[in-house]
Amino acid sequence: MGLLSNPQSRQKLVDAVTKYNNILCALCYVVGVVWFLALAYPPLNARTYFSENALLPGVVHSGFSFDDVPEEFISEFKEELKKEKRNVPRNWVYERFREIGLETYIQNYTVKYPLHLVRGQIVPGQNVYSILRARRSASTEAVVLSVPIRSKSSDLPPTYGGIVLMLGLAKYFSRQPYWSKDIIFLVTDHEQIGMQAWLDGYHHVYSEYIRPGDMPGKSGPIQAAINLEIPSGNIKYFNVKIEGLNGQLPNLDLVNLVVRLCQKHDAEIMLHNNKDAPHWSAETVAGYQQSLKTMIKMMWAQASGLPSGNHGLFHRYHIEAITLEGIRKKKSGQISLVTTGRIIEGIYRSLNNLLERFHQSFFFYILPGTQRYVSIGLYMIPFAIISIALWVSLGQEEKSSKKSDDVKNKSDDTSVVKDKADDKDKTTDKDKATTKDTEGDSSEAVSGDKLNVDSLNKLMDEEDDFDMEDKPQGVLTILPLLLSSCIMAILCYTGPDILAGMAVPFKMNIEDGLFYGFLALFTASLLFPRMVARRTAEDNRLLFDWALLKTITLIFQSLVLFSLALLNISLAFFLAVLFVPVSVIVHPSKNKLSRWSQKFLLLLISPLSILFTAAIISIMDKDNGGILGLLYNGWSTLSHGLLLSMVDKYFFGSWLFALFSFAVLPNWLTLWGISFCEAV
Amino acid sequence: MAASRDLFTKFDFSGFFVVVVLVSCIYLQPGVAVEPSEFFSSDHTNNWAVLVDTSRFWFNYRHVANVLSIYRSVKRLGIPDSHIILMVADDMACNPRNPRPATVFNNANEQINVYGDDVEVDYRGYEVTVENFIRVLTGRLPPSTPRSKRLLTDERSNVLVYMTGHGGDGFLKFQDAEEISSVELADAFEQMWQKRRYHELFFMIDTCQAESMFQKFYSPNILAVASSKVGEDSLSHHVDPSIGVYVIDRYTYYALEFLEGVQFGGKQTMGQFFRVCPPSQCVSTVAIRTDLFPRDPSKVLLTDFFGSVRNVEILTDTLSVPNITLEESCSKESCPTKKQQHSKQRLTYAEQFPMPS
Repeated sequence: MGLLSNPQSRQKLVDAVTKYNNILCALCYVVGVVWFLALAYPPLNARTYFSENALLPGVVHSGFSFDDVPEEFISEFKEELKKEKRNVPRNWVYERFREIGLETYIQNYTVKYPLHLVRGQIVPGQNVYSILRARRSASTEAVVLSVPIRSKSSDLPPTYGGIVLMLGLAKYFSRQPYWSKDIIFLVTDHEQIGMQAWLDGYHHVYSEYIRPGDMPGKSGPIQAAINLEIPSGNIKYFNVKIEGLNGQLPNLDLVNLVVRLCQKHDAEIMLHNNKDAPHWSAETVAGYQQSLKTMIKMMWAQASGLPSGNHGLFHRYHIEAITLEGIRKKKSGQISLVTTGRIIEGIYRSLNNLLERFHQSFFFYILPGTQRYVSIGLYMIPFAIISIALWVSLGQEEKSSKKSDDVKNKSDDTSVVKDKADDKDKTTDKDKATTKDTEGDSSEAVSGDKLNVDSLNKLMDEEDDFDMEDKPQGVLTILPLLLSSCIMAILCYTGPDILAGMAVPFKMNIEDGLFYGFLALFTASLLFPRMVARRTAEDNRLLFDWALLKTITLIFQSLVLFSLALLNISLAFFLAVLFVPVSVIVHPSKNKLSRWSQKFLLLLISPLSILFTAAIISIMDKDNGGILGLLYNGWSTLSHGLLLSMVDKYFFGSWLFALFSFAVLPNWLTLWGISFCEAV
Repeated sequence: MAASRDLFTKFDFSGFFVVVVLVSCIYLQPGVAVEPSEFFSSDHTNNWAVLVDTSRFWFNYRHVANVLSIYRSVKRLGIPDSHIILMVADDMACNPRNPRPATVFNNANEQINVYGDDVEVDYRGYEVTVENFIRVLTGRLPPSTPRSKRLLTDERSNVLVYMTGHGGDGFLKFQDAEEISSVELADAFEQMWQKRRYHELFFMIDTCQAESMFQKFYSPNILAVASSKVGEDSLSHHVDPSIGVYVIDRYTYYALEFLEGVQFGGKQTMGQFFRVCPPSQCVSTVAIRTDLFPRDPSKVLLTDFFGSVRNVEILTDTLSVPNITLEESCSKESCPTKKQQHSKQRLTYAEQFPMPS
């Protein structure tokens, strides 16, 4: 590490970075992004493998078959659904489990909606669950098989198949002697809310909004869970859903297990409805595009921070879980419920073999296919290269402040400036010389040099004092901007409660109230540099030590991005791709065109436009009727999504909203402020 | 007492005086003339086996099946349970994951339950440690240890040591918690030799890089065979899909196939046994070590180690056995009444069994 510890060579490095600053920044960004996207290319990632020996995936023969006729069950269940449009036939499910002879319980819970939604009413709900006790071992461990039960009025695809399959499996499993873990069959109500209530109840967690009732029956700590979203037969292929709350992923071994079992039974398995690139063409352009598409879709789902299925709530309790979703195609669907049952039997036989929690394989990865993975070791390097552009651009600040120093000499003659710069260099050289010489015997020449240096330093100090009058410097000048962006962040975070409280007396729709409130907040933040300017300077010019502010912003931003990359790489990557180039570019300029283009770019990456773009992309594959329709739908999705992310915060502890309020917004505001700073 | 002790010492030191009148009919086939030199080629009088499975957990079912299969074979060939130290690190038969409770099978056909009616496991579960293993070999066990858990060998014992588990270059893992190194094992055997605890020792090991375990041996009269060379993995043979585990390792599978053909008193030699499981079957290369062993392995009977064939030695000269009990023949009346001398020494309980110190 002589390069960094030796001041001379370090200076060279710093000089190089300062000199080729812009090129380096651009190079880092481009290389980083290209490299990251190239990770979907098979030679650059790796094939998945099993790290956990105990699983023995697919080794055992699956012998599942239905005792009863599943079609009868399905029609019976549909009858029950028809009886009540709003409610779900949980009593029917309860009775069926009792008939099998399992310990069956109903868990009651109540939901109090936050933000005065549903007028503060308390909504009741019920989960049905049933425990199959392992015959030959103590109830010290459990695995969960869950199915969401959906009422007729639900707009999500029905899960009859899952319920019937679960009943069939429960009956089959209860006859087998080989279980070493209890199996909990869980039927949840109200989608994720029901699941959260059950998990909270199981782990004795009490929150203000979801209040789980008592759990009469329990088993040991849950090791793993599979959530089923299976239609009633004619399944064309399966989707394995992995993304959990806040972008948490299940252990890769569990994903591998599900993929392996599906392959064993010749059932096609995909990620986000995307086929894997066939291995013979994986290294062609078409194959790469396919992998990239899968990877981006997976990253997109992870970046949203929303669970892609009910499994996503398990991850918080360190329970590895996935959702297996069956896609029904009436004519071409070949996979029967029995085959699905055999796949699930195989998965549970493997889970049954587990001796410890899943811990051997990766928790941090990106999947460009069901059988390829990009581990944290691979994706962190290109990500770091993207983010390092922020640090490299810190060198630019140094250079520009030096330059402005020089310009501020307000000497008409450039040669003087040059001389001065030369002098500076000389002094530094001499400084080095003196330090070197003092080690030996000090000669008079050296002392003479020293005097020279002292006088020069004095001169420079005077010059600096002189500069201070014209050019603002120091922390004090940027404090108003920093403070106001912090206040905006706090306002944004606490806003929803206040806004919702205000919306009630005005008889406003809560969703609209929140949305317009946020719009107002955003508009106010757009104008805040003007307001700050009016307060600080007499001539309405916004003047502050912009280089210092930008340094702080860039350091903050890189800190946020790096920390985020350890939690949710996808979100960090997308934010980095958007923020890094603009953050590097932004600087005060005298050129009008440059100023306006900077502001335009900043508006493009403002939190509002990011969210709006995200909303549009998420509804893109639906039919929206033209671009206007798309924009309109995007707008309403945005307002709805904002509300949902707020509700997620209260119900499940999602930190997406907090991240946007406390990291993305203030960071963007300071950049926005810099673009308003007068160039001097 | 003194006389009898004398007798014992005489037996010990005057070569081989034991007259065992057990003539095996199988051994002496009629019509075949057997020279005395051929008739009695090995100098051992008793056979012992130490069979060790070092790995636990359900997915290592095959190691338990390995060791129980060898156990079954040596028992079939005549080594009694009292002469077998069986160490099994986990209880597969009673594992809740076992779909066939109380059984262990070594083949997908499930014809032979190797965890049959009379399996005597001497060290089980967490008792299977490196310390216990070395103590058993070297005989340095606490006095409270029952006789069944001791390796009571002497300088006339042929010992078979079979080990299986997960190993690497120079070590064998015990219980996922510790390991025995090849040097430790070599030293243990040397200690056995110095304590005259074996006459000849056959070491057989089925694990990855198994060869490394015997490379450090330096004690005489050891013959060793390993399932794989250094740098090679030893693989499992096949899966039983109804139990859902790999049931046996390749080397042990083929070794068993060979052993099944050996009958009580069979003439198969160690040389033949070493040719078992060529690389085409084993995938790994079977390694052997013969340099410490003075005899030619191709002339050593397999049953010298795997069975317990009692040797019969015919002596040409008459052996006069002194009558120790009838030194003075007299009845109660005729004998002169001896004065009973009461010893002033305090009486203590004699140690029940003579313990090797």
